[in-house]
Amino acid sequence: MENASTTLLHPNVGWLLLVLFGAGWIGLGIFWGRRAKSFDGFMLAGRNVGMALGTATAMATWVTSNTVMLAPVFALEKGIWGMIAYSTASFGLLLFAPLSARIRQLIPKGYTSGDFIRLRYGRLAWVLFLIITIVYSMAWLVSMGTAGGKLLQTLSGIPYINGMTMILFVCVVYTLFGGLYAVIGTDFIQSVIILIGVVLVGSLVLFKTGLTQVYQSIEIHQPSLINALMPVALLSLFNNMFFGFGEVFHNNVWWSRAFAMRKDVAPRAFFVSGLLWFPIPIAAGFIALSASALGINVIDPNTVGPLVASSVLGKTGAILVFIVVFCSLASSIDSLLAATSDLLVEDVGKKMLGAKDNEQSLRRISKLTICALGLLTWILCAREMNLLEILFLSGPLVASAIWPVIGGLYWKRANSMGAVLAMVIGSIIGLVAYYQLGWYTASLISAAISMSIMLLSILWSRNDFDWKRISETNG
Amino acid sequence: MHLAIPSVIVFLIVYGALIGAGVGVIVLLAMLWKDWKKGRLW
Repeated sequence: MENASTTLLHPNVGWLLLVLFGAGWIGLGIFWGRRAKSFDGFMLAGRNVGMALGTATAMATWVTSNTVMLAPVFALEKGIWGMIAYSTASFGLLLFAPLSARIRQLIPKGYTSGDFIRLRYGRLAWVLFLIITIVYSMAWLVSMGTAGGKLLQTLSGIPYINGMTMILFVCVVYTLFGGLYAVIGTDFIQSVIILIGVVLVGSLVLFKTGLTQVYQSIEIHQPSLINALMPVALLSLFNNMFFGFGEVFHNNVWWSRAFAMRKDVAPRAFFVSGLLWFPIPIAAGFIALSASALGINVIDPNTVGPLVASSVLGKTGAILVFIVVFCSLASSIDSLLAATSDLLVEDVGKKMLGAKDNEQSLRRISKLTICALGLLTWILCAREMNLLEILFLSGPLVASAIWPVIGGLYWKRANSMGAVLAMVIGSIIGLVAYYQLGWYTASLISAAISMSIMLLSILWSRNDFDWKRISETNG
Repeated sequence: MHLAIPSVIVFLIVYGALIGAGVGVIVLLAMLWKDWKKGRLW
């Protein structure tokens, strides 16, 4: 365990920030949650979210603790291409914009991404899709909890178990009381704080060091970081892009937002959120690149961001990083709790197990599911499982779902067999590539295999899907 | 093989990102103001 003298902040300061912000999120969650009078309100914020809140929630959800902590590691290891590689994850949001318009057109009263796959491809593809998406969502959720606990411990010396428990507790409580209203409302404030924090820390580091000095230092000490032809960095650029497409296109976190926003707002909000997200990993990555010019000896790459920020800005820098990290964690954990519980209630509870379709009972089940998810996440986090590895392993799984989703949305000839084979074979070959070639090829290969199978099945198919089968069912 | 990314490109990327993120804050707040005035937040 870290002690106060080796951490950037005193544990008491860490606890004070945690309690202040935690109480703030819970208070705001309860306040906004009063709007959730119906199950639709609780689950989808009344399906009437406007441009500002829609854009902010899409952006904030996509800014995870990885974005602000792992982007600097990418920059430190793979240089300029590394930080741009991380930014390409924003293309997922940009390209989801037209998809969200199509989703609202085809399935206006839908609830989850699972609804669409079930109605479009049938039971087998639906079950397979649910397995992929639940494995991915749990890995993402647990990796956030674990990263949160470790980051708070590194930054302030708060013991891992206490910090992780506090973060999960705060997120579970306000999601429980306010549903998607609370998630979207707090996401707006969190996205503004994250953007201000990143700009402030990045600009101050820039003024302190000067870009010329940083460039010259890299040129002398680590020339590979500015090498335009670094093979691993170039591969990771495309791999990250496809991992991002897979994550956004299939996951209910994004589908639930598409259903929650007003019909005309959804595509514009996703597009603007992608634009707003793009500079964040670059700004965060630049902080890491400055380490060498500042003469900072980086022992653990995972802490390079806070290390540089605190060495340039002192305690203020460490406090800023702490707040940005806490906001990044909360904005993703709350969204995952809400969207994954929606998926479990709607797809598993209601459609698979036949739970009663009445408002009160569904809302009760939904709240119990959020608590159960929080508890399961806590148990897995408490065991300190290396879920980041599983999150990266899920890259080829989610990448295999890109083309079944796109094909299902746009092509009448897309069919169940093609979607199932694309997901199964794409995932298997992607996983083999992960172990045999390297993580930076897995999503790329999985997406390519899945695309080939999907396109071949569309070419050979005589399927003439009637779109009304989706829209008339109303989810 | 080594081909260094020119410093001017690195300048454009880093300054562009910082300015872009700063503009992002203004855009978000402006959209919030517009939606709030029209009563179309939720």
